[in-house]
Amino acid sequence: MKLVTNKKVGFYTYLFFSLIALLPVIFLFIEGREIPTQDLESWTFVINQVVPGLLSNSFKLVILSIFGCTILAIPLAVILELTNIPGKKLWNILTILPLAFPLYVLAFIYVGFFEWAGPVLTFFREIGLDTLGNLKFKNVFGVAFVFSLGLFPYILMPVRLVLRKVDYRLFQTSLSLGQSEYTFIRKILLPISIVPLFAGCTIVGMEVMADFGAVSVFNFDTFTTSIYMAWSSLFSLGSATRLSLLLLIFSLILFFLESNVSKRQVPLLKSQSNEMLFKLGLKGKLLSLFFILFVIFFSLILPLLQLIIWAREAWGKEVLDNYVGLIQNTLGLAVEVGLIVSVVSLSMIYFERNKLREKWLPFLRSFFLVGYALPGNIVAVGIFLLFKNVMGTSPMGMGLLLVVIGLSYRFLSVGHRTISPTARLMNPGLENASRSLGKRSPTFIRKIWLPFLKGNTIYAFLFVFVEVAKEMPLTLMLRPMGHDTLSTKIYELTSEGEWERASLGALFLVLLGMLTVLIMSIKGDSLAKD
Amino acid sequence: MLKISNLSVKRGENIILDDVSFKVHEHKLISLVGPSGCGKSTLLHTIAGFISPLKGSITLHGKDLISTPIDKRSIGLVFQEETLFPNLSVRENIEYGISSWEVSSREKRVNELLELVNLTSHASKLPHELSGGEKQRVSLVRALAPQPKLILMDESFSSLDPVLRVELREEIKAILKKLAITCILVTHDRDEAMSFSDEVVILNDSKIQQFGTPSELYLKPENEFVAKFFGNGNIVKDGDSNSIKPGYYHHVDISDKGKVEGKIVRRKFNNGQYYYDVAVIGTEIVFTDIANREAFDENSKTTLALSKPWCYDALCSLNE
Repeated sequence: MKLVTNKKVGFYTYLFFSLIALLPVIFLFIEGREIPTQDLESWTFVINQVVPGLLSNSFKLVILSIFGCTILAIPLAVILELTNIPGKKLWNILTILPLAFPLYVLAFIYVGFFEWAGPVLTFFREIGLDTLGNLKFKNVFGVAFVFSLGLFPYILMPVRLVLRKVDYRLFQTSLSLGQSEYTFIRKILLPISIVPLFAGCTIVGMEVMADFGAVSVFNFDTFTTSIYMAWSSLFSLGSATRLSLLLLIFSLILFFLESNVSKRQVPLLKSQSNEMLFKLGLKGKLLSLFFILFVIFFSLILPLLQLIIWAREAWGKEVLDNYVGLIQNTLGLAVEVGLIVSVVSLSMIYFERNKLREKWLPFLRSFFLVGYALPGNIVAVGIFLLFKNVMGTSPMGMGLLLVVIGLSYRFLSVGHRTISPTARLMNPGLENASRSLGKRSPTFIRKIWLPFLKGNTIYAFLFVFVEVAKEMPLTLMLRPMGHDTLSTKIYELTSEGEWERASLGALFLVLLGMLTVLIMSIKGDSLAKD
Repeated sequence: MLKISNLSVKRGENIILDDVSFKVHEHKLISLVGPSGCGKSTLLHTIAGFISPLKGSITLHGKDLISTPIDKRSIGLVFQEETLFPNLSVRENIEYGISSWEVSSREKRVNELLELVNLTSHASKLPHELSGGEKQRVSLVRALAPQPKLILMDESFSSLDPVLRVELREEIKAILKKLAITCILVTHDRDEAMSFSDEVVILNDSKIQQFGTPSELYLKPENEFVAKFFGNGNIVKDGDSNSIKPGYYHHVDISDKGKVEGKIVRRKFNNGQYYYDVAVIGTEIVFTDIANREAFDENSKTTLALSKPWCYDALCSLNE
């Protein structure tokens, strides 16, 4: 009987906390539903003048970015998984390293590169190609170009994962059944890879909808930039809330689309054969290598070089003392949030350890982890509304604590999914074995459970640390006045076109990002995929 | 019907098959057996068309196979691993090779085949919903669907657990016999080769060591390798010498050498009879797995009578 009671208490505790975790979203719905009279005027303006443009902008941007990512990712996936191209290990790492660039960094590098006074267009004008030399880069195509370079790994990775599992013997079997190579591609290969492709596309869509920093650099209006504008100056909290609610609904649609699509993947076994479907001749190999190098050059090498060049120029001019303060602020915030997320994730996972078969668990858990599926702007508004309602006054007086809570809420998912796969590997019987040896649970946690998860907890801390350092919109919206971090400083500098001054901090963030990407690609299966 | 002549295959610098020749008659079940790396899978893949030989010829019903593209060879394949198309249902998998047939005859064919392996109720399932044995049965009928002249099976039972493996082997053997299909099975398992096939090709070191019926290979091995591969480890030297030593094999009838004195070193009971390991007194030789229905104590003395014609097949008469 005692066991049953314990179980119930556990369930209600978990339910209680998961509902608290859902509160920011609930408040968005409550406050976004009604239009307070004092905001009516600005909202009427927003809904008539702003929203249609935002919808069309977002739609175009999502479509173009998905298109761009797909035409980069699909050939890469085919080359890397289905042909006998040499140097695969190197290409594997170099093709996911672009994820190390925060999109806003990639954006300001390319805007700086292609702006009217930038090196490319100046060169065109100098050699007399005025039409090319006066092209505008700051438009939807420019943004989509940057998103394609920064986000294509989100399509590349899932498609590769599936193609890797298509055994060469399936192809041999198809031939032996009298069917041509073309039939095999049409009936087997394409249907198998359409699911990961679609899943990757929805992730790109979510990232595009959630981006704030990159579109800001382009002065390209989307929901996130409008929420920020409504928040910081032009309109009102009410408009910000309702815009957030709109964006929230789109994000949730994409989120459920993604999780539903992924479920449709037929299980594939690990491929047993090392033989490749397409055996390339010299010409094919050269063409494939050219394509790989082309993508790597524009998504990794060129941005990195440009960043290094700018950073070197800025090194002499920039007052480094300013940076000391910024780095202190950034690292302080990242450490605090990293620690909080690690502790909360561990507590959740400890609680979940013997309830993995309960049907309610994944459902309630998603409430805890919803923060990561939502754009930072929405989380900021949601957290703000929550504390405003609890405290009855503007929570901005909470100072840095509000940012810390907001960021912890947003990145809890990163910590949880880094630790939980390993925690699942522990045999539940171990705890009973420990009890049967007369040891109480605290001893078990201290001597067995925590040491078992130590490695993953360190990674979780590190990943959250880097995410926090890169995070822009939430920090920007909830921080106390004047408390700048690297990312908010970059926002400020890039909105004034100060690419060189922004590049020092950006380079630091990119190097941090590379650290996590490298760890993920090396540790691979034992960590959750990003 | 299938004739392989002077076939040699080279991969890189290594000769995998060296001057291999044999004939397979119609409706026969053949096993290609040998230790791993002996070239048996290479031989199978060369027949299927995935590997081009260095020299030699392969003909099927008199038609040259080497110049025929893989998809025109009408040879069915069943692999060890699961090679059902994961996105297609059982029915669609079976239809895959006969998609150009007329709808009515195609449906009839698929229904026939499903019935043949008792999987009619599983027709709309996806491969991952099937058990290991069911998957292999679907793989077989999928290969049979386009009515190939020859079926090649590459370690097709190896991934199954032992009990299921024997069951499925018997079932598939019965089906192949019923349909009078010619089939070549590659296996590393001598028992599988023995019980599955009408004739066995044993390969080692890129060469055919012997080609014959299972009983021929067991009772009349042509060399030491074959003897060791199929025997139970008891190998006796030529009668010209007085001693009996392990590690030598020769064709010789040594029944006239009479009996040897031995001591029982080990005894086990299996399949309704006892198996004894007997050490020959005055030598280091131990005969293993000598069967007898009677129970004798370990460490007791015994006499072994070596039966003719194949010494390692000796029946013992203990304590005579």
